[in-house]
Amino acid sequence: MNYILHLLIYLDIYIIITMSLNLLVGYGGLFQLAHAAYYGIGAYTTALLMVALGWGFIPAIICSIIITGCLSLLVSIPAWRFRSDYFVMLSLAVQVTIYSLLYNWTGLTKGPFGITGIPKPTILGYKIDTLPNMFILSTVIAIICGVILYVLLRSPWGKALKAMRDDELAARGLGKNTRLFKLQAFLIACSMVALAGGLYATYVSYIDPTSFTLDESILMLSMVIVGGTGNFRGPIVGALILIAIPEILRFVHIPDAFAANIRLLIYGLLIVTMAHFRPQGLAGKYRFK
Amino acid sequence: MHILINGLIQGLLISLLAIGFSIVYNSTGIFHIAQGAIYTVAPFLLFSFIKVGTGIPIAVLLTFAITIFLSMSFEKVNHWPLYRKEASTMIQLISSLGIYIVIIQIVAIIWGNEARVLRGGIDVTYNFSGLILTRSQMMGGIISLSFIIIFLFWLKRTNSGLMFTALSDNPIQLSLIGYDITKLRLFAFGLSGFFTTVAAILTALDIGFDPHGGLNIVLIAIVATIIGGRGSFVGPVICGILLGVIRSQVVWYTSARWEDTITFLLLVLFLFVRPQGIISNKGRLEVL
Amino acid sequence: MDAMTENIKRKEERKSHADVVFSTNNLVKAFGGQVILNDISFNIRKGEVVLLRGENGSGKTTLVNILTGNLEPDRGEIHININGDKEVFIWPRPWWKEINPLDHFTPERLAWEGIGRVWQDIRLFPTMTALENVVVASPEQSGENPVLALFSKKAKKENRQNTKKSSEWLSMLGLGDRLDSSCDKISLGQMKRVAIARAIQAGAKILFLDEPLSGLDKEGISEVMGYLETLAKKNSITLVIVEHVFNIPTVLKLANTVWTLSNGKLMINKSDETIDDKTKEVNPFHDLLRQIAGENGKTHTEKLPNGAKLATVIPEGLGDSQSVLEVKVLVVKRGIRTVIDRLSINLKKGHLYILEAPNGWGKSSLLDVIAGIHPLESGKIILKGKELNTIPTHERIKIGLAYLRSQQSVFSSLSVKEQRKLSNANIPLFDNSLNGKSKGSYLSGGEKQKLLIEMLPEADVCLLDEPMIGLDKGSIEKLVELIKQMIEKGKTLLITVPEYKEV
Repeated sequence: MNYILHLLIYLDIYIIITMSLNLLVGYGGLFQLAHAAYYGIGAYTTALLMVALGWGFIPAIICSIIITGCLSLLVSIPAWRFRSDYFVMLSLAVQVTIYSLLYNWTGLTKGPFGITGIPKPTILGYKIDTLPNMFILSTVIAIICGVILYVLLRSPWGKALKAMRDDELAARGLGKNTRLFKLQAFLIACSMVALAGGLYATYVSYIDPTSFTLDESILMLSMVIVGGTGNFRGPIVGALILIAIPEILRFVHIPDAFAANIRLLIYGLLIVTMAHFRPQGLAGKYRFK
Repeated sequence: MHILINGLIQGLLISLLAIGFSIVYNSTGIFHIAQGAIYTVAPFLLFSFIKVGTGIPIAVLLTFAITIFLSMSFEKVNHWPLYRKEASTMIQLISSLGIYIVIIQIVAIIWGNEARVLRGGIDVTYNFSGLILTRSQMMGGIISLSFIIIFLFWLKRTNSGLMFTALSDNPIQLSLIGYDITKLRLFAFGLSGFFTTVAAILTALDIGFDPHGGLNIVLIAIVATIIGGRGSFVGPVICGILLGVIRSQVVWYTSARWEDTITFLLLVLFLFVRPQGIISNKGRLEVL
Repeated sequence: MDAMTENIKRKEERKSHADVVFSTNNLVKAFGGQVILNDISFNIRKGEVVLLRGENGSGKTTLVNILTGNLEPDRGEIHININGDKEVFIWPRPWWKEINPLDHFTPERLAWEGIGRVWQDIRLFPTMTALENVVVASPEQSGENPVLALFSKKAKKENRQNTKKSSEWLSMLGLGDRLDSSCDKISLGQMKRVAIARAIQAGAKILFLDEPLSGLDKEGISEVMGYLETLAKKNSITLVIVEHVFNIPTVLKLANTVWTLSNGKLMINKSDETIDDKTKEVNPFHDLLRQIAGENGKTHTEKLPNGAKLATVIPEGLGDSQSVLEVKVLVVKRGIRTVIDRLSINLKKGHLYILEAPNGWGKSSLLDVIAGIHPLESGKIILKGKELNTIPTHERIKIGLAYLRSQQSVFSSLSVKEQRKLSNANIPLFDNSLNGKSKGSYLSGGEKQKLLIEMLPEADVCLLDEPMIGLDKGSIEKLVELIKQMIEKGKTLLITVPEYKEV
């Protein structure tokens, strides 16, 4: 039972990640290979504030969302001119840079040693240190994020974003400030994944740079591509598959040493297959032309 | 001075990779991320062939044969079918990424996740009045320089080079004159595989290899290509060399940790300051 | 006579009182050394309806792109004065304006000023319904701010109002039952009207329309024209309509000014003046047809769907011959649009075919599909007895096909000499004006066209897509000579031309 709760908490965290990335990729049309980097900044900021400065969970999370959001603006404001394939390059640059900072700025992040002893969250005086309570917390947060995105996507903002994705030039011809929309989508997506990062940090209580590598970003992007882009179900399916695959592998007695490799291998195969036969992903709605 | 020569040699290797990337990118528009897979697999193949005792020359031949074939298979099995479906550059990019992931994982499963070296023991060194270079570095510098010169010469002076430039320029018009662009594209992938393997083996000789550095290296080559100017080959070559020099200086003055960061910051800087031909500025209708 | 002069007088008076809402001075635009727009100046008054015409390649699209913010001119000025708010843009722009990200010349900026555009290929948002397409265009929606979208009641109320207003409007246009249809399920005429409604909803006071009547049947044309008339007369929306020859008379009923773009210059006339001979362009191929037909040859015209005509010339001495290129029930799509719908034609060996069709009919798409550049949705193409469906382009060339595309797409980075070498084109066909060393990108449009004609491979079946674009009179004569020679050698030719008015 504990094990299942553990998996479900991970599922919640990954659903938040994929929903946020889907906003960027499936609605904004922006391919981001730096999502793990923002995830990492969210995790590290929360962890540092809680460990080094003794902040509570909620203030730490809010602060990490704000910091990550500001950082995303730093990247996206200059980047709004770029065509999509160069945006990918830029996001790669961001990923490499941020990872490098996390790894090498040992004064702040303790580098490869990571940050230990991240306390469990205390909300309104109530300490959340049992697995079931953690599960409730993660699910509540995931639902809140889901609701926010759902409302946003059905609002005029969401419709304008869809218009922009369908035909950016026509949307601009109607007076839509597409650059602003992209900035806003970027801000929301990165802030949301920072929230996921903070949640992750308090759950696992130890983080180090290896969870926030380029490979992790690729995995996140794969989840979104495979699960489906441009609609609401897709990211959830993507996260489900991510959680399910290692479990299935375990069932089939693949040794743990190779489990990570096989999981990525399956993802790679799924990506290539999707690209050929179903560019909108398994459960998605938006077909990349 | 030592740093400069080091940097130049590094730069030449980066240029080889940049050529490998540009060959595919210029002629097909494909963001050839899977080049990283070729880069990763080559030294492992060489290592294993030598280990089973085929002798170095045969091992090298076999390695090249396999990597070139593998590279061409990317086109045949993946990119050409997508091209016929009029897939966008993003889809091509994603599929290339998928291929990269698959091959890297296969390499890690077969050979394990650790780093290795190609030669056992310390390298032979040569002394040029105070300047000390290892044999690997010398080989690296001389071989890459030779291939770069041969390539540029071939491009400008031969008929096949002309065909190739035409392919990068306007593949549809080329096919309308009756040239087989399927074969030319395959050739492009094969040639790219060749250059990538050369660079991979030379680097592996010098500092070793592992299954996970491939993407990073290719990214640097891509930076050289973008800064150098898409559509040209001379540009990426020059930028590759410059990047190599700059990175060595960075390593010397700060530390090896910041090499990649500086490389990418350069890319970002360049994209903002001198976006000619990268961002469609005047022709606003060229969207995304 | 008196009634007419009175009418004209009244029109003049009305005009002189009306405001100038849009004007330009000395606009110049060149591409790669070739001047497309040379010193364009005009004034447009509120409620005016302008017809913009000119041949293919005359720069109409470039001009409209500039006037809608999609392209910047090299020199000149644009003045906009809608609702009393004046905006001036002057080129070349000083460097401090270029850096300021808030002061760029962009489509959205002009849209805020009240400039709207209806595209030739319509460009409705495919993942949204007709109603959503119009609602999304509403300006100044507070719901477009994500924070307000989440929390503000006012934003939600606004959205409801916009939706209501849009659906009423669409109902008025007769699209009431189509509100929730996705865009691939409504007719072309309906799509065009939704597109116009969308632009008006966005607040356009000056609307640029790119060939709005292309591809429409009689009913569609009257629907669209009716809508435009209402906009111009009741709502005082200023219209600039780009149209091609065939539909010009229809538009002339509404237009009060005619702009003619030719050789980079703009001529402005009132619509009730006698139109100069641009519209009465003689089809240069009529002469050719007669020459090739000779005394005992035959000509024959077949009507094709959607207003196209296929004229066949059977040279004298040639009886009924074998089929050399057959197209069977061809369906071609570009994106979600069906461009060619179940077309069947049969070309016989040695004959000359001229396909005359309006812009937007799909001439280039048809040839692209025959050449293998664009995939077909369904149907068959048979060349010299071989079914072509999946054969790649170069193999079709080998079977015996040559294709001259209409986009003047030479190799931009190769020199003329290199391109000739590549295509084994050793004999210059035109006068020797093509400099061997010039790079493709530096050639003028006409030079590119000549080079492309030289590069055509020897083939039994030749497809020429609007081959006369960009050529001067002398070169056109040369081209006609060439065509005659090809027919004499027994080749089969399919030439597409835009529509010409009957003499």
